[in-house]
Amino acid sequence: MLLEADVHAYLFLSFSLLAVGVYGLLSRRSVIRMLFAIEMIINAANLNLAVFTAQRNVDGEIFAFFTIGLAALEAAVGLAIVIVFYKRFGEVIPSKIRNLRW
Amino acid sequence: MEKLVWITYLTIGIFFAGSILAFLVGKFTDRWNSFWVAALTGLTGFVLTCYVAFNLGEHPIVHKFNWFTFGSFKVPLGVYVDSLAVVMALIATGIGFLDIVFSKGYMEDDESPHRYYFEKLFFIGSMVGLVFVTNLVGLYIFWEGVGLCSYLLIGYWYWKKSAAEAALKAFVMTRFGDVFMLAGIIVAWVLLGTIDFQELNALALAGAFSVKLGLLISILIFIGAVGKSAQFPLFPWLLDAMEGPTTVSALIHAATMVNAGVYLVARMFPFFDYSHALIVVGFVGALSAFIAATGALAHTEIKKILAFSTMEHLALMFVALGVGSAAAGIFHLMNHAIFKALLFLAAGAVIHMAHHQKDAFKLGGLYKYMPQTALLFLVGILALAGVPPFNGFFSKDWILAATYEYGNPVIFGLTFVAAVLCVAYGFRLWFVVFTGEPSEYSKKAREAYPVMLVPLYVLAVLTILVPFFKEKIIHFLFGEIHEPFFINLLVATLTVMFILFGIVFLIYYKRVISTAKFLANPLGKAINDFLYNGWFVDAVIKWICRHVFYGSIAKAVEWVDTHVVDGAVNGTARLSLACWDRCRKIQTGDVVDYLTYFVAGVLVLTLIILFV
Repeated sequence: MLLEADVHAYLFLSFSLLAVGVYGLLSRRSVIRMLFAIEMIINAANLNLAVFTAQRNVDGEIFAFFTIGLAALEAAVGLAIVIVFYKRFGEVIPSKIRNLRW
Repeated sequence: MEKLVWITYLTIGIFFAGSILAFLVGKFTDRWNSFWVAALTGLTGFVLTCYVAFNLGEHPIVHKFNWFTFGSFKVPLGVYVDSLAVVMALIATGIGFLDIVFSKGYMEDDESPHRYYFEKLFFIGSMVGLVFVTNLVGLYIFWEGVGLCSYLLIGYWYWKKSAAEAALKAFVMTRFGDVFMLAGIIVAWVLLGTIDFQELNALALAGAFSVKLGLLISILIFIGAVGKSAQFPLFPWLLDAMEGPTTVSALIHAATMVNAGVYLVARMFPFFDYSHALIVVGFVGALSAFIAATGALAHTEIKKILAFSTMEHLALMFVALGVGSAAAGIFHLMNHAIFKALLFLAAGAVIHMAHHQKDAFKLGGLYKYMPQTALLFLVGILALAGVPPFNGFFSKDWILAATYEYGNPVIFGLTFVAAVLCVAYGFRLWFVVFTGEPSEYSKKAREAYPVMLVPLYVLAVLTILVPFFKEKIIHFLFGEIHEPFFINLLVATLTVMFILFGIVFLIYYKRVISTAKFLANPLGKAINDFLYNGWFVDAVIKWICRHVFYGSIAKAVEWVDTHVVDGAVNGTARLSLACWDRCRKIQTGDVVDYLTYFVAGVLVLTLIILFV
């Protein structure tokens, strides 16, 4: 059983992870680094799941395993997309590629 | 349902069924097989009508049902067959059958007889329906049905520009009257609560509504009748309608459809009488008769002279109704249907045999080449002119006597002049076409085919036979009625007619008096043009259409359309474009920008959830 104060500390940690992830997602120019940032956001959520599981004595951590699996898949697919991206455009900076615009 | 009701419905239905059958048979087998279907249908329909006529007792055949119900709103329909309806149906089916037979000869070069017979049978069916239905809504349906067939058959030779335009004109002009008629029906329905002829007449006889309301309804309905029966001022379409095949003119524009207006007024006679609308009917009729008779005197085309004459005789019927003698009007309707069908069909034979030369003055001397047709035409002219003992004499004399008795000098004067002028234009036409020097067209002509002559003989015999049965017919139609008789009027009429005949004889047969001098005089030419063009009523209508309807109303509507309606539509487009042009700037195509919007949105939502 975690104490109320410990939970607050963990939640602060997870919020910091989220904030760092979002900042990284918006500020990094390379796709690879953006993927790293996304991993951090996902792990912030995982940490929340683990913390509340420990506090409330429920089986929430099972979702953390699903999320980790999903994150691995996302990384695999994301990296594959990055390779295709590089082959096609010769770089991995999304801001320079504006084909999505009307 | 009793047997007679069934037969009544069958009589209407058989023509519609026959029309479709004739079309299909003509379409999928030899085209001329449609003639046999049409003739058989026509004959069966005529026999059925005769059966109804002979079995019609003291009481009319009545059957009413609800056509459809819409909430508490019920639309009734049904048949009401009395002696008046059955006589009208006999005219429609009898002359219709003869006309179908005659068409075999007249339309011999035609490419699509199945279309012709389809439209013709559809017309006869609509006409029988029109006279058999029991209320105004049913009448209106069939009224438009005959109008449609009239349009289709006037424009039968649709590749001719004049025919197509004439069809359009006839359609629009009669529709103009029908709009008023529809308004009249609606007013009657809403304010009187009924549209059944017998109930309306019963209400009028009981005096259950105000005279002013009755006058309004009567006038509105009468405008429809004016359009259909080609009376002043809605008559120019009848002259243009002569562009259609002559057989069509004979059946539709002389013997049956144009009588529908007269029939309607006769059907609602007590209603019109109570509403004091008959005086209007009388005046319109007298004026139309005068215009038509003088127009016929000046025109040169065979068919248009006959069209003017048709208009004149319809006007005489309206005069008879207007002065309160429905019996004279309906008797004249019957006689006119017979002799005018005879005249038109004989004219059709002449035109067909003279290679479609319609101008009477380009023919001449045809008596030598087609003596039988000439004599049959003469019988028609004698009946038209009202020479005893032909049928026209009896009814026309009766109308004159009734008008004389009525005592309105204007109506009597115009009617009398119009009635005696029949002699002048009738014999003028006959002399010009059949006597004198044969022209190049006449020399090529030969006697009409037997299939054309037989219907003519039947009609000619009828013109002589009908007077013998006059008493019986009148008794069958109206029971015991008073027939006015003035020996001095009769003598005066016959004398004037004889003098007019003498003048026409001298001008057009002996050719001792020439009309060239009269026409060379500018005043004479102006008068001739004035009469020739039907008093320029057509030009006036065109002027009104162009300057009043087109120039102001249509222009105003067009302005509203371009500036208000189109403005709203275009304005919406312009507004959307302006918004879009500003909004699209945020669509940069950069994924990071979209991510930023997303994150900003999430932040805003979070703040709202936390602090609101």
